[in-house]
Amino acid sequence: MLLDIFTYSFMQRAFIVGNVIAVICPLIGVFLVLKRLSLIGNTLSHVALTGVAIGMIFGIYPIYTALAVSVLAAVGIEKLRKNYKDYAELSLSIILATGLGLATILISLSNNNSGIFSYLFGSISMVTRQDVLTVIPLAVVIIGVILYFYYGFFFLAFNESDAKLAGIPVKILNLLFMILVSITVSLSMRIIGGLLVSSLITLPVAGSLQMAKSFKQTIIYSIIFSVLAVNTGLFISFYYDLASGGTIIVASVIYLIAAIIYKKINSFLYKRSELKVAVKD
Amino acid sequence: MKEIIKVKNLSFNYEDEYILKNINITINKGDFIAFIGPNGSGKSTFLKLLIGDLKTNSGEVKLLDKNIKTFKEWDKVGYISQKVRDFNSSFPATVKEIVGAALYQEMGWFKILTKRLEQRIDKVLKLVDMSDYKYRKIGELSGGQQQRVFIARTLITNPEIIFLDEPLVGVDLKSQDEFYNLLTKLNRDLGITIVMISHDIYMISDQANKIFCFGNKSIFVHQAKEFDYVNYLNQIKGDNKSLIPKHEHQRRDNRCC
Repeated sequence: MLLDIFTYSFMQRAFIVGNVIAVICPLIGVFLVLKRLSLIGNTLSHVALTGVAIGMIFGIYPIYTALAVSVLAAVGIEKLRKNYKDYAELSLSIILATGLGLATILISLSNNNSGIFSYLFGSISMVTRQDVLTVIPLAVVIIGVILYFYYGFFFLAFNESDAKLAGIPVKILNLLFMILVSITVSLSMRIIGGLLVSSLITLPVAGSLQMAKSFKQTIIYSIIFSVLAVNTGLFISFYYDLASGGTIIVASVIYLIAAIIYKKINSFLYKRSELKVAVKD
Repeated sequence: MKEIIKVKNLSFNYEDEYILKNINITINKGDFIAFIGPNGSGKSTFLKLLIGDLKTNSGEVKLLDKNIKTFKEWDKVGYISQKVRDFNSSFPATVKEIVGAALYQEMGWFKILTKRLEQRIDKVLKLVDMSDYKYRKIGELSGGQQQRVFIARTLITNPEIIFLDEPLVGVDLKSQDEFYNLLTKLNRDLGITIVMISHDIYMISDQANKIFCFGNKSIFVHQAKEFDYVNYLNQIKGDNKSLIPKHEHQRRDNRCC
């Protein structure tokens, strides 16, 4: 019976956390991708690993330490981004190098390789009640803040210098947004794993951009793509005993390819129908 | 006549080189001002000083009676930069979303569009004759249409003055004509003050009421009616009349041309 999967309480927790993350990752991702900062997710997740390692060494709940470290890093990126205005990606490389360097040292100190492994690649069996109780309220905060400043974030993504003239508090919103990204990344590590978080931030957005006709649609479609991918991935992960991060991301890639093919077929049909009309005329 | 901009003893230099020296200028409500002059004569610099994007080395700029250093009423000022169409052309946003975003300061608790705000979007889109494109993606529009959308975005906050920095680069001639007609309409019918940098001397001297001629670190003011653009163009080498190569600026009786 297919629905056996929901009789396991760890799977119920995995589905709850997974679906919440499936909403917040692309929601943040749309703005990140359009600001051309999609690699930030990658950077912050590596930095968050440092936080996880710190948590394990000191016996603190690792998501909290990951949150603290990645928020700090996010503030750092925003500061460096101002110093290297024309080389935004350079600030990311600097922070990524620092984060990964520290994480490697701390992981070798902690001697808890299996624990770290679950944060690298995601693990559905390890989702705890505490994870559920941490993820849900923080996700509500993220969705609330994005809704609250919706057009502000939109304008920032479209054109930062014009946003300033429209009276949008550019500096504050940029910083706030970076903090939202770091929270999203830290929360997603449990299910997706640190190495793959950035994929769930970017892949559904890439698929959505193929077909969306407005900014709002871009957000809605990317959430649909991501929810589909997460649930498909979780099912496969459970039945074939595979790391959930991997199955979710491969599912995202498949949906992305489907979106690209759909668009190709659509534009081909559109061109043919236009051609027919032209011939008739 | 209400003064919209008053500039007193303004000087500006990059390191030891003065770009503008001891400028005194007044712009009144309802003026349509054209900035002309060779590249590097300080047109864009002056515009940026007027909107506080650059800081003066000495002197004072007053915009709508307030010192630019403490100016806050940005909704009364529109600015269309050279780079306005320099956005990611596959950005998935509709005309409605882009124009609506400029209403940020008037949105309520949640920064989203309400029915009341949407009516204002419809009104400005009608004004710039882009109502049919409300739900089209910005990247699908032509250069001239995009420029109209950005004018609509500027107009939606009911500005008293609009600054334009060479807005028509890369826009075809027919759309340029339409664009000038639109600016004239805004200036005459709505009384919006317009300050525009342009290389298109023929067109701009037709539409503007005053010409600010930049050269020799100074600005010379002409009434458009008296501005002898044929003479001015005669000083310009080459055939391309819309682009002015560097040329000697001669000064006769406080007139540059």
